[in-house]
Amino acid sequence: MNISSEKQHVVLLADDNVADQRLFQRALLRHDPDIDLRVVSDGEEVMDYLKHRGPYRDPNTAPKPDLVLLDINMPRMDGKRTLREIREDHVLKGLPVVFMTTSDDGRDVRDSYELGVNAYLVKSPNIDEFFSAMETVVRFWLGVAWLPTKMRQMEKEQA
Amino acid sequence: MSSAMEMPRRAVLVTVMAVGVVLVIAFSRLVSGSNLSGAHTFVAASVVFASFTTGILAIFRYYLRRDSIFFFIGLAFLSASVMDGYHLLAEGAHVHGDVSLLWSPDASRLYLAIALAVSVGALELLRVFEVEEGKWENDLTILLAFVACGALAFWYFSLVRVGQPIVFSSPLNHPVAFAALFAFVIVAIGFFRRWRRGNNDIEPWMVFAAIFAALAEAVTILFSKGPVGEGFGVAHIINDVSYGIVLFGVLASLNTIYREEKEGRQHYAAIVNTTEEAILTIDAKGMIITVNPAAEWMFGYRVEDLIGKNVKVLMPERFRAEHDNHVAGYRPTTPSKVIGVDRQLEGRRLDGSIFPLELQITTALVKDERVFIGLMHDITKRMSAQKQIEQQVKDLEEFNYVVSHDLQEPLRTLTNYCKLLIDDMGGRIPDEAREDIRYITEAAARMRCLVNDLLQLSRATNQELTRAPVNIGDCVETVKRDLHSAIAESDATIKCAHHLPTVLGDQTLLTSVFQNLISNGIKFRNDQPPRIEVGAQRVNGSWEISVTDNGIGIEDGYRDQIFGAFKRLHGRKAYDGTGIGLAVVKKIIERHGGNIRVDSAPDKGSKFIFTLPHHSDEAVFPDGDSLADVWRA
Repeated sequence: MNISSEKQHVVLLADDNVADQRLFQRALLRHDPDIDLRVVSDGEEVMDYLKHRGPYRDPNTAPKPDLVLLDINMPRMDGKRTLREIREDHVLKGLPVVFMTTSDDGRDVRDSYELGVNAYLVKSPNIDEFFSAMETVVRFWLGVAWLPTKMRQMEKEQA
Repeated sequence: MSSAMEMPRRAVLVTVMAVGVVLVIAFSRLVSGSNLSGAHTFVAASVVFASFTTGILAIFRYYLRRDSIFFFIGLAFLSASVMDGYHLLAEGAHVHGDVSLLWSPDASRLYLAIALAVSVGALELLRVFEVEEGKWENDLTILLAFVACGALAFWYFSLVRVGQPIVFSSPLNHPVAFAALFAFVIVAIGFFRRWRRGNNDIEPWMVFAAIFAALAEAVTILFSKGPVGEGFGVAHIINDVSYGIVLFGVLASLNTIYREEKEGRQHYAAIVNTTEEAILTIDAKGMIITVNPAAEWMFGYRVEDLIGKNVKVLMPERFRAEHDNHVAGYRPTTPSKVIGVDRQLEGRRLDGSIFPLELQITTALVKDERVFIGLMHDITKRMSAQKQIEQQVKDLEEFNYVVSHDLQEPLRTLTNYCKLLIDDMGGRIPDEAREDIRYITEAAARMRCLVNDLLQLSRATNQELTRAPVNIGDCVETVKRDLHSAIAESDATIKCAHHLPTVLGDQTLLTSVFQNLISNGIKFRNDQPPRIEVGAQRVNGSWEISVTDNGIGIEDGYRDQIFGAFKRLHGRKAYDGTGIGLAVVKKIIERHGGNIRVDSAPDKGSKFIFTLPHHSDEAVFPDGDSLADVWRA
């Protein structure tokens, strides 16, 4: 039943910190060089991407992601507001969203799960831990877990 | 009071003139030798007048300030004036040939001398036994003593000389005058002692009066061979002067009081009229009786527009109904929520503007009417300053949080990329460069610790308290789980008292208290394995929790320092850490309404003791008060 290899996985990452963007890139590609990582730097751009607005008008340039990785503290639109907009949109609400953040504040954790985040991870200051956490996330969401995108793919094939 | 105080001043003038006129007439008649009996009548009459006036005024003076001495002087002179009056009547009867009424003026003088001597002597005696002057039971005892002495004197007169003219053949045949002389000398000495101690009210006058009276007795003894001898007139005159001196003394004393009262009133008026506090008095119905100038400025009214108005005009609408309840419901016997309590309210100016004020109300009875005195202070400036400070504190806390939070990001990046650099370079990186990178990584790690601790302190200070019953044992168990590797590594034992209490507080914050104290106990160990004990006991309705370790202890001089942020007593090489732990602990305990102290000595371990409210008690949280509570009060 492993269909992960049949299609290139798309991961959308939103982080305003370029250094962190690069870290994510290294971590993901280290685990699976075939992952199609799309990087934006705030919540507004996430919504533009998902709703095919502005530079992402052409759906081919902005394939629907299998996983969204969001930072919480971002300019313009932060992670929590972005999550709320995703959950309120009837097309997007099923998207798996994982928070990757520096905040270890209990309030942020509580709020995030109330808003419907799929997982909350704190960016570890230890790079080895960071890499292994990323590997776990990617392996679980792109390999183990069943996702709507996966279902659609299967339905298409059956048809 | 003012009309009563005017009286003595006029009395001085009238009495001085009256006594003066009487004395001049009497003296001129005595000296001329003509109509001796008439002259004697004048002198006797003036004596009656002077002693009666003195007695009344001294009693009045006693009423004003309750000085015992005036009470005795007053009674002595009143009694003496009655006897002098009798003497005057007897003298008149004698002129008409009736000798049965003749009674020596010696009786009056002896009685006066004995009464005064007993009084002043008794007061001196009280001093010896260190009894406070002015107690009514002491006064009563003295009064009884002098009534008894007076009665004895009368008894002597009635026994020996009833109805008989007294004729003397030798000075030694004047036993009464001798007794009076002796008593007056005692009076002079007694009052002199009081004078020397700084009582210079009536005392100097009494000393001179007693000397004159004694002199009169001496003249009588030495020169009177009969009822009307050579010394007779002189003795009478001297005696009269003595009475006059006392009268003047009492008048002077009354005048002093009058002046003091007046100055006092002016003094108080100056305070009330110049203070910046608005002061007004209202009656039991809330009608304004008096207003000071500060109240005029504060509320924008003129005094005459406020007097007689209900005080409610000075309040915004929403306080008016409540105010009626307060005034109507006031009972002097039940403790009031309003009287004697500082309250922050709002005032309403004439132009309708509202401003914050602090109000203090007291109450008093004036002429048997209940009045309320309100002291008001405009706190507009204070309130805005307070708001500014609160905002600044909030900004600072926000700043602290943001800084500690945002500083983490670049530090993490720094550490991560150092590691990546080494990975990327692989074996090509020279040893020296590897060492350089290690320094960068260490510095970043150290700064991360500092920033982390700042964040911890910021949370301990700002995070809202979630108050719930918290079991201390559970907190310690959590900490044991969190620290299991450190505990295993150091072979530490953590022992809890048999029954650890449940307190009211924030579970997370209280756990971090034990986290800090226990990890300190493990960290600051000597060569023995750490042994940490957590105990509790009930003290005055709250719990006293103790965390005891067998570590290196703290020197005397540092015991207060350790609770400050980033205070470290040891080099980083010996013991790691930033020194924020105990500052966090202190902050958390204080926010729970408790306090913390430490018992410790070098190499004897440390015992941290802190208090926490019992969970069933009404806990007092310092940051839990709201303005709403104050309003409700």
